[in-house]
Amino acid sequence: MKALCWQGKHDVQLKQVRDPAILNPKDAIIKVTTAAICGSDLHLYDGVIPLMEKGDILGHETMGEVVEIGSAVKRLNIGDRIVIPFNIGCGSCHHCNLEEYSACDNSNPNALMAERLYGHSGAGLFGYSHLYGGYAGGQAEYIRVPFADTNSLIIPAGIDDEKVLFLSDIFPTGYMAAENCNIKQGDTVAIWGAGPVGQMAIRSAFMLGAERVISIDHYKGRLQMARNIGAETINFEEEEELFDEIERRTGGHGPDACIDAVGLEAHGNTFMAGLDRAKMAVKLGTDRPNVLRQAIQTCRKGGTVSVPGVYGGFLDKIPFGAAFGKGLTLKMGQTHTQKYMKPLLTRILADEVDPSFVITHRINIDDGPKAYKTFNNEKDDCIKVVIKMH
Amino acid sequence: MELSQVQNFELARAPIRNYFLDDKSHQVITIVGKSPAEVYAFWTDLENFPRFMKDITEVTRVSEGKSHWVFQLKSGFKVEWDAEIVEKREGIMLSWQSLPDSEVETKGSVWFTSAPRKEGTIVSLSMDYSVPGGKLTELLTKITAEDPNSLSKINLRRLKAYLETGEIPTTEGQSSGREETPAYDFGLN
Repeated sequence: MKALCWQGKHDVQLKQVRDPAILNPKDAIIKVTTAAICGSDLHLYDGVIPLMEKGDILGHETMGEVVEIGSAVKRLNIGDRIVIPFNIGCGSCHHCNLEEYSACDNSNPNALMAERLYGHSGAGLFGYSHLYGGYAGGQAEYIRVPFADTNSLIIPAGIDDEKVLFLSDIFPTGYMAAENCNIKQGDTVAIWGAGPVGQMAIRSAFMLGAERVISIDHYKGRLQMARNIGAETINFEEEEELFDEIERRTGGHGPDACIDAVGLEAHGNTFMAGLDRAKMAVKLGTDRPNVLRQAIQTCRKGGTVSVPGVYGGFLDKIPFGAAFGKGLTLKMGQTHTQKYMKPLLTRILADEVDPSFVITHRINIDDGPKAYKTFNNEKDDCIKVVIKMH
Repeated sequence: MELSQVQNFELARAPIRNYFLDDKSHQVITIVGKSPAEVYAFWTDLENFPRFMKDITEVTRVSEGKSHWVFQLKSGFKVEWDAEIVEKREGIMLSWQSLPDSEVETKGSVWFTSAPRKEGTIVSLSMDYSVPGGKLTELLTKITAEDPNSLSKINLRRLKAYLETGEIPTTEGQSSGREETPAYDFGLN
């Protein structure tokens, strides 16, 4: 089969690889119909996530048709059309029972490695480094799904792939980010990053009762998309002091909640942002947490900072004193996708929301390597790339 | 038999005849989502070890309390030894050691305690292996890239996964762009 493989920093190649096979009784094999490139794939592309290996198959936003099932698969049948969550839950451990699927105890075969780094290991992830299990991803013609009954959402016939594909990651991720904000009717939520997750967080914040959403970015195309779905916007490159501008817009109190939908590769025009870039370039720093600093500094007293953006290592100069001084709540982490897939599908089927509005590019897998480049370099026009597979 | 945690803690403090009990440097711990009786029963059935213990390919009963163990890597490297139960407390603990003059010296103990909030069983495993002179340990560590302590952690994780899910998660055998594949030029890269 054809697959998009990570070959090194800024090097994604189309390769001919073996078709996947059932390896465990609860596995299923899926013929991929549509997959997507995620903003977090660009962290891999930029080489800032550790423990990638040359030849790893990328992709964690995937859907398709079940073509083979293992002997212990009970719920899925051959022919079912499913969306696959990006994180792998075993469905049986303490955390899966609490619907904390991204904290699954069992799905990461390389848990020991993650324990050494983080104290405890999170769930395995598709196509997202050997720290998270090294599972082959879904930017390929076929994918093996472990614990398939847990890691699938069956899609009814007659609904287009593009409407439901993002239940695999960015929609639940944006939704959980908003849910973590503990939004009350009338709240103002500021969201850094108007990429796909930021866009989903804007929609979700409104769905959960926010009165105003302020979207912050520096790509004009992305800010326009945010305005189209009802957000106010700030282009931080046009403001001398982002903090002052947010103060002006929130009566000097700050937003009730702030969402960091950017993560470890923040851009920015502050002195600290420049220092972060320099440290990362010479490997003195693992992350560039400029957005997180701004979110903490800006947030209203007693408010919540919610972090769906990915971080990987040790963060410098986080204003923890401000977080403490203002009594902030910090919520973060990989999304418990499986918990949100079904209720969000119900909203899609009821025509409350159509997440496909973020799609700007539709490609064939052969154009995958080029699409990574475009997505990385032309963030203004390229917001979401989907790969039409079968 | 359902023991309270306090009772189990007291039992854990009671001296036993053999090593490892208080050797914290070798102790690894996890919670398995099954009752202590179930985990104990699983652990005392020799047939189960090749199912979850890494590179243990065969365990057979020799006589009451004595067993024969085969450790084999895919590369073909193989060692065998006989072991005996040193102490056994129904539903609570088990300790073992290899018989004198074995090719491999191994010893260990495992304890099963009720976890809080009925989450299952706290399994505490202490295990070590060596040979006189220590050459095998070095060799094993070199070829498996795992020291005895890491191997204990891996085995405990595998036990937990097997008992909770019925399988052991793996990516061994999956496809990747690292394999030698038939020449196929897309003319794109």
